[in-house]
Amino acid sequence: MIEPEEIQENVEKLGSELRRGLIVLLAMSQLGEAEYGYSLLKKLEEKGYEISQDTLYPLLRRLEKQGLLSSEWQVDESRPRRYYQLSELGAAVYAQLLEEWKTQLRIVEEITK
Amino acid sequence: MKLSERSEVLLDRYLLGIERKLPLKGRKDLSAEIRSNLMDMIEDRFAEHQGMISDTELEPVLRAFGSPKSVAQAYTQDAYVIGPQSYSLYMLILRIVLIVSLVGTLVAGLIGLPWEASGPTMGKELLELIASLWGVAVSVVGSLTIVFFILQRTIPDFSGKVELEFKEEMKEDWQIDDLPQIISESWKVETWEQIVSAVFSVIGLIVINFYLFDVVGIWFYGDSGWSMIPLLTDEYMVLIPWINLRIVLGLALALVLIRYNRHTLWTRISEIGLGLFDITLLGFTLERVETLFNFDLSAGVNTSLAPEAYEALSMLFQPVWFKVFFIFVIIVTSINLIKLIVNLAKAEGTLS
Repeated sequence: MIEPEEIQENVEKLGSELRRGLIVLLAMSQLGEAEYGYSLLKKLEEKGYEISQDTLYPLLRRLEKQGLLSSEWQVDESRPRRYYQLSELGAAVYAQLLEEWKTQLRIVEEITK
Repeated sequence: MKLSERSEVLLDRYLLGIERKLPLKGRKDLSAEIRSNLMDMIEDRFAEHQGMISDTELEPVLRAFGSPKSVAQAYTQDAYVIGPQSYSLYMLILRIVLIVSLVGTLVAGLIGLPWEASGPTMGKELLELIASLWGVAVSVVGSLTIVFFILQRTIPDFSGKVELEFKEEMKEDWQIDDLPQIISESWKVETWEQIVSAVFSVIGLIVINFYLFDVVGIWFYGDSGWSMIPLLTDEYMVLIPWINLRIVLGLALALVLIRYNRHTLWTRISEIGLGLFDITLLGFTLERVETLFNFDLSAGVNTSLAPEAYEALSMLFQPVWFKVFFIFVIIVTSINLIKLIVNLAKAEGTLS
C-alpha cells in the first residue's frame, strides 16, 4: 500500500522542478510595464504563482545582466526603488519563449490525452 | 508605519550583516536594492499596524527574509575559489601532494634529529620540525589553490560551470565542427602520468623555495655525523624565480591535461614553449657553470672526508664535466622538442 505522504512528497519535489522552469517566463510576462521587486512578487502571488524573494530578486539582476531587462532607480516616491522592465531584446525573447511554452503545452496535451 | 529606535538599529545591523557578505563589485548598489526590497516587505506586513514597530515585532520579519548569509549568497552564486567541477581534482592532487610532502618532511626531519642530544635541545629540534611541517602544509595548499584559481579564471570552462554546459546541451543548431575530434593514440593523455607530474611539481616548488641550499650538495658520513659540501653558490639565486615560473607553468599544463584528459593544439604548443624555456634555462646554466656551482671542496677536507674520496671528487668536480653534462641534457631536451614539433606539424588540422 502506497502511503499518501509518499505520493505527496514526490509530487512536491517534481512539481517544484516543473514550476522552476516557468520562473523566467512568468517574471518576464509581468514586466511589460516597469515593476519593482516586491510589487512583482505580489503580482505573481495574486495570480497564483508563489515564488520566494531570494529566487526572484537575484533572477531580476541576472536577467538584467543578460540584457533582457533594463532597470532604473526611481526616487520620486517615499523611498528609492529599483524598477525593472523588459528591454527590446527581452520583449522579443519573451514573445518567442511564450510561443515555445504554448507548443510544449500542446505536445503535453496530445501525449497525455 | 514607523520603526522604533531599536528597530532601526536592528534593521541597520541586519543590512550591514548582508552587505559584508556581498561581492565587492557593485556592493553599494546591491545593498541599496536589498534594503529597498526589505522595506517594501516590512511596510506590507505592518500596513495595518498602529504606532511604533518594536524590535521584537520586526525580528520575525527579518527571519522570514532569511539569514544575512543566505540573502547574500543568493547574489553570489558564482563566487568560487575552486569551482564545483574542478573541486574533486583539486582535492585529489592536494591529498596526494600533502601526504607525500608531509611524510617526506617528517622522515627527513626525524633522520636529522640529534637523538643523543639533551632534553631541551631535542625539544627545540622537535618544535622546529613541527614548524617546518606546518610551513610545508601551508605552502602546498597555497601553491595549489593559487594555480587552480588562476586556471579557473583564465581558461573559460576549466571550472565547468553547470549553467554553461546546460546551455551547450540545449543548443539545437549544432554544427559538425562542434563535434569532438577522434583522439589518435599519440594525443591521448595518461591521467596518472600527469598527476605524478603535478605532484612532483609541487614538491619541486617546496624544495626550491625552502630547502634548496640545505639539501643540494655532496653528502657524506664522517666522524662528526652527516656533513654536506654545498653544490650551489649564492649566484644560483638568480635562477630561482625562473625555475619557479617554469615549474608553475608545468604544473598548470599538467592540471589542464588532467581536466580535459586529452591534448589540444594549445597544450602541444605549450609543451613546445616549455621545452624552449628549459633549453634557455639550461643554456644560461651552461654559460655560467663556473659561477653557479661550487667547485671548492676544501670544506669537505676540513670536516672528515677521507683523502681518497676527496681526490676522486676533485677529479669529478671540474667545470668541464658539468659542461659536458649540461650539453648532454640540452641535446636530449632538443631532440624531445623536435619530436614535439614534428608531431604537431603532422597533426595540424586534425585538432582543435
